[in-house]
Order: sequence, then structure tokens, then C-alpha cells
Amino acid sequence: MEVLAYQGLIGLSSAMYLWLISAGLTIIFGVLGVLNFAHGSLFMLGAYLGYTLYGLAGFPFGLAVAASVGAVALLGAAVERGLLRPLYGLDPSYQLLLTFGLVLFLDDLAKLVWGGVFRIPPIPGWLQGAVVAFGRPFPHYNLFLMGVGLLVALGLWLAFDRTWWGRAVRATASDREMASALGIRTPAVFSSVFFLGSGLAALGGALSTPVRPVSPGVGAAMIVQAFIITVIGGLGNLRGAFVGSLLVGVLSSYGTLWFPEFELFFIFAIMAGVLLVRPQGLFAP
Amino acid sequence: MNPVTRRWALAALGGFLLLLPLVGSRYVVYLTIHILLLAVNAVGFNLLFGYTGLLSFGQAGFYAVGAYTCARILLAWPSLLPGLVGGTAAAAAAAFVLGYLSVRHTRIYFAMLTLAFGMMIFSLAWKWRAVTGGDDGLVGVPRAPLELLGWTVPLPTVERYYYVVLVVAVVAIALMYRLVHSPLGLALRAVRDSEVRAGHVGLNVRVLRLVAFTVAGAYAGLAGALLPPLENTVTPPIAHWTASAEPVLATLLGGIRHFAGPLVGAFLLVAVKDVIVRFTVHWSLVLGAVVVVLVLGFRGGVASALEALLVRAQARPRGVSAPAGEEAP
Amino acid sequence: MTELLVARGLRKRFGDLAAVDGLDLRVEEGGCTALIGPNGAGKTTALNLLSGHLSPDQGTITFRGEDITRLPPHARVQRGLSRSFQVMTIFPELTALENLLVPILARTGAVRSVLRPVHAFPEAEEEARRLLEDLGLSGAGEVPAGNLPHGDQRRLEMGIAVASRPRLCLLDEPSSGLNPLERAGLLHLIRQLSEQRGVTFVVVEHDMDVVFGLARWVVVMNRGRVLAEGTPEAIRASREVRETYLGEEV
Repeated sequence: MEVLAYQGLIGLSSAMYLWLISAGLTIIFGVLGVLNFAHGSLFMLGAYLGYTLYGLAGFPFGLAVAASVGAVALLGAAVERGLLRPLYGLDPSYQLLLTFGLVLFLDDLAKLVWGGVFRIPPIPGWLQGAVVAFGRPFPHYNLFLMGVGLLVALGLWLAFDRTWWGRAVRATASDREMASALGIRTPAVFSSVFFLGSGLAALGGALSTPVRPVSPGVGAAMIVQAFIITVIGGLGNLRGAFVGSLLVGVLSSYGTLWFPEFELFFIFAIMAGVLLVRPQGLFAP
Repeated sequence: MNPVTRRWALAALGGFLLLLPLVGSRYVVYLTIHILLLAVNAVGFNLLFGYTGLLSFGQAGFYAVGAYTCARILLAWPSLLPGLVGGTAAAAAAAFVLGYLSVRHTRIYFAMLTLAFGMMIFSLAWKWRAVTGGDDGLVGVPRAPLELLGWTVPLPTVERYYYVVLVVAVVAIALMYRLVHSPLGLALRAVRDSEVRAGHVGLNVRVLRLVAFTVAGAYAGLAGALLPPLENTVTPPIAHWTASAEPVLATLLGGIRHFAGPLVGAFLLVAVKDVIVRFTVHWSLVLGAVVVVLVLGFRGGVASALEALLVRAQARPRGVSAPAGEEAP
Repeated sequence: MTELLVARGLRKRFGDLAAVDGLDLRVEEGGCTALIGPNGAGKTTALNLLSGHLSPDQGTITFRGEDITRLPPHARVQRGLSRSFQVMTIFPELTALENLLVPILARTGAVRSVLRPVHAFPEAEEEARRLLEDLGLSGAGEVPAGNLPHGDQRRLEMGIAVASRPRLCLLDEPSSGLNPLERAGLLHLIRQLSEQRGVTFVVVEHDMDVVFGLARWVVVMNRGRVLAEGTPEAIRASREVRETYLGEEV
């Protein structure tokens, strides 16, 4: 039983990466209607930048994370303005294709600039150590991750519920033309949403540097899981993405323990199942 | 392009392809086989995307079904035709089943479903050691002789196999040409243009989409089935969603609104990749950039650009209406 | 006079809004029935229910004696019930001729043909060309429909619905966006198609000239159900109708 609970905890903490990347993906889809294939690559860039600043250049961890997030967020906003915006009136297939092309480009660019797989830098001092949970050591870093994830969830909820910006975003998401007619500058809203979504993905990536080796393939692996989560939670449904991340994180954790052979298959089978039976997601109203 | 010019061009191309093994190196022949495989795969994909308006990220799954089925058949029964037929049929069956589940959904969900299904097939290929050999794949697949009407034609060289592939590819592409110019092809285009209106003129949209999806799957499977006799192995990466990109890119590159688009694109993709790889290992980077540029600026692909050039070159004064070229679907 | 279409107790809600709230409708064969009413009366939703685009929450629809309530649109078209749309729903990348060929080939079952080219169906092509002529679009056959001027697209929009050789054809605001000259032309066209091809029309309209110049019978809707129905003269004289339309031209 203790193994179960411990593995569940591990699953919850690793779910935080999934949450950060899925939050961005689902917000972008909910507001812009764009399914951003390249979101995993943004996670990867966040990880590489984080590694470069913290692991190689020796910057303090917090600063490295902040800088990575900022840089990738800006990149995301630039991509939205320069590459996606011209495609808005057209068949959504073109947006999918464009972001797909970006995946090829960015993943290989990372290989070009940074090379292959990297060592893992040490966990920053103030986050080292572990508590004992269910008879095993549970790293402080994992607790830190869970804390960040909860803070992000809280922050997003507050932002969308209480702030003027959040209301503008929700208005634009539900009716673009009406929002524009009401004086909301929808292009700015789009860019800001992409900025936020990209930043969240990069945050996930940057936070993964002290515990996971960075590699160019991590983007492709993450995006597929993020798709699964957003499908389960419902495209554009932030609460669903949060619960979905926890679900997938915990299930993956148990999966690696008990069914390492067919874990991948079952995850995709669940995704297909939800899409078939309840495409609006398990948590849709 | 007027019919006379087109016939000469096709004849020239045909002649060139027939003589290729005599004038080109073994490597060029090998590369051309890959172009033909991709051409068959892409022309099937474009039936789904360009003609019916459905974007699938899972074609690699059907390609893999075709490849693995053919390989298993050849390992048990070394005769080429059963391998090819079996592979194609298995892929078509898989596409029918998965398509039946998927076609009722709108485009984004459909695309995601194809991605999920494709990856399910990938994970089976990777993990199901008993059937697929796991991550080692299937090895020692023979280039079995062609047994037809009592004759047995051994295929010891790549050049001999090339002719088999050439014939199969030409027949497959010709059949597809017939299909897209048939009333069914017109109906598919109507479904693409307006799903709602298509239903309201008496077309069963779901059935039509299923037909397109099954045919596209069969073509991907045929392309896959032609692979094992060439390479003598089959491994899981051919089923990954990044491999699904090949027919997508070829079609996008060549042009989705022209029948010949996927064929031109297949040639360009293989040829360009081959060239790029000599200079840098980062061909994905170039390819990704090309996709972005194409989607933003040249959605008609190379075929549209060529057609525009031809129109200008012929400089015949046209009426007020937009030119509807003979090649354009 | 045969009863072509009978709708009983149709109801359709969208969230809190009851767009159609107990609609009873009878359409007899022959001529043209107009369906009018203020904005939000539920006219387009009614058409959507009749054509199968939407499924009713309650109620039944009978066409030529058969219950079609649960049938999808393509099955209704096969039984002789077609419609046109208010928002242009043509096939933009197909030529004008092809736009008309599709319903004809669908009707004759030729769509099953996989290996014979479209050109091998000369009767279908001939029928499409004749319809193009009736629509006044003979010169535009090879033009991609999306490139046609608005007025021509409107005619094509109607033509597609008629090409299925329906017994009953529902037209949703066919004259929307047309200038007075075009509108008169459209009126003439509907009358002609009705007489020559024996099609019964139900026309949703805002333009009263079209309504009174064309309709044999007028049904007035309000708040999701029928308010009044009668001959054009009776409706024009009705105070109830006039009050509902306060502010609109009658």
C-alpha cells in the first residue's frame, strides 16, 4: 500500500510539468482556436535555456528560470504575430501544418545549437534534501514543483476571474467579433495569450533541468502527452487540464511500475476513447 | 498544359523511368524506389486531404501495418504478390475500422484521433515482440520472387525490384487518377467544400469520408508493403507520428489542389533531403522552414507555381473568369 | 390537394431560449408558401428542423406520409425534400456547372461510380447545363463558384436545391443581399421553376414584395410558433399581424 501511495506522490509531482504545458496549450486553443503542435518545443527551449543559464553559466536558479520563461514567452508572442496571424481566416489545417513545421524547425535547431543530451546540473542548494513519505525519501524539489503548480493554478484562476485582462480574454474566447466590437483589442489579446502560454511551457521546461536530462526529443514526447491531457480535460477547459494532468501523471506513474510494456498503448487508447465517446472532454459542463 | 504537350511529357517521363537502371547508379535507382513509395503514399494522403478536406496525422500507422504484414507473410511464404496484397488489405481493413470510429467527428478532433490511433499502432509495433519483433523489428525479410500466372521471376537485384515497384506504382497512381475524376471524386470535393451542403444535396458525408479514409489507408499500406523486400527489415520508427509527416510534406510541397502535386512533392522531398543530408545532418530544420514558408506564402505548392508560370508562358488571352486548368481538380 | 409536409408540436431549445416552441405546420402541394415573421421568430430554426440540419427536442415531421423526424438531411433529400441556405452555402472551389452536377449525380446514384469519369454521364451534364440556362448562368459554367458575383451565387444557391428534383424545396431568405432588379429576377425564377418543374416552395422572407408577389399561402410565425396563416390578402388585412410587425414594412 505504501508503494502505491508513494508512487502516486511521484506521479503527482511529475504531473506538474504536464500541467504547465497543458495549461498553455489549452488556453491558446480556447482563445485562439489554434492547436499548437510546437508547444512541446517551447517546453524544450525553456529547458535548454534554463540549462545553459543555470547549469553552464552558473546563474542563480531563480534568475535562470525567469530569464528562460521571459525569452520563450517573447518568442511565442512573436510567432503568433508573425506566423500565425496571417492564417487566421483560413482552413484550420494550415495552422496545424504551420505549427507542425515549427516543431521540425525548432527541435532540429536545438540539436544544432546545443547538440545532444546533457548532464543534469545539481539541484540548487535551497531546494535540496528530502522528507520521508510512506517510508521513502520524497525530495523537497518535488514538493517545490507541486507548490509551483498549485500557485500557477491559483494565479491563472485569479487572473481569468478577477482581472480586467482575464475578462477581456474570456470575452474574446467566447465571441471574437463581439469582443472586438466592444472595443477590446483582440490582436493584443491573442499575443498576450500566446505570451502566457509559451511562458508556462518554458517554466515547465526550465524547472525540469535539475532533475531530468535535457534532450531534443523531450518536446515531441511532451506534446503528445499534452494533447492527451487537453483531450481528456476538454479543449479550452483549464480546470479539465489541471485534473487531466494529475490523472495522466499518476496513471503514467503506476503504468511505469506495473505495465511498462503497454503503458504507451493504454494512454493513447484512453485518448482515443475520450475523443470517441465524449469529445468535449470528461470535465466539460 | 494542353493535352498534346501533356502526352509528350508523360511519354518522356515514362521513357526516362524505364531506362533509369541502365543510365543511373544503383543508388539512384534505390532513391527512385523511395520516391515511388512516397508518391503512392502521398497520392493516397491527398485524396483524403486535398480532395476530401480531412487532415490525418496517422498515415504512418497504416504504412506500418502494410510493411509489417507483408514482412510476416514473406517470412512464412516467400512470394511477393501475397505479401503485397496481404499488406495492402490489412492496412485497408485497419483504416476501415479506425475510420468508422473517426469520421463522425469534426476536423480538429478527427486530426487528433488519427494522431492517437497512429501512435497506438506505433506502440504496438514497438512493444509487441511476439508479432513485430519489438524494437529490433523484423529482420531477414527476403526479396521474394514474383510468382504470377505460373511464372516465377526472381528479384536478386535492386534494379529488378525497381521495375516491379514501377509497375505497381504506375497502376496505383493511374487508378487514383480515375477515381478523382469520377463522380465519387466530385462528391468528395463537394464534401470538402461544404460538409453541410453536401449532406443537403443527398450525399452521405460519413460514408464518403470513410471511403476516402480507407482508400488513403490502403495506399499507405501498399507503399509500406513495398518496403520490406527492398530493405529486408522493418522497424518501429516507420510508424511514429513524425513519419506521418512525409506524405503530408510531400503533398504540401507539391501542391494539394493538383493531382500531380503529391507526385512532384514526393520527388522534391526525397531529392532535396538527399542533397541536404550531404551538407548537414539538420535536414529537419530546412524542411521545417520550408513548410512554414510554404504555408505562409505558397499554399498552392510547387505545382501551382509551375502552372502559373506555364499560363504566363503560353500567354493566351483568357476571359474574365479564373482559369480552371485541366490538371486542377 | 395532397399534403406534402406536416409538422406537429415541434420544439427546439438552445439553452434557455426556446427558438421553436410548439410549431404546427401543414404544406400542401403546389405553388409557393411564404413563412414570415419578425426577427427571432424562429423561422430559420424551423427550416433547420424541417431539413434535418437540427433534431427537434419534441414533435414530429411527416413528409408524403412518412415520418422523417429522425432522418439525416441526405435521406430527406433522397425522398424529395431539399433546401437552400440564407448564408451562402455553395461549393466554392467547384465550378458552377459542377455545383449543379453534384446533386444530380447524387440523385441518380452515379456517385457510386468510381472508375468511370464524370464525362461518361452526358445525361447528367445535359441536365446541369439546362438548369444553368434556366438560372441565367449559362456563361458561367466553368467559373469556380466562389468567384461569381453575389447575385449569381444566390441564383446558384437556389439552383443547387432545385437540382435534386425535390417535391418540396425550402428557401431561406433567397433574396437577401440582392438589389431590387435582382430581386424581381429571382421572383420570376422561383415562379418559373415552380411551374416548369412542379416544385412546391416554402420561402422564408423579409421582403414583402417577394412574399405577396409569389405566395399562394402565408404563414406568420412569432416566438417559435404560428401566429396566423391565410391568403396574402387576409394576412395583409390582419390587425394582429400588423401589430406584430410594428415598425416593419407590410
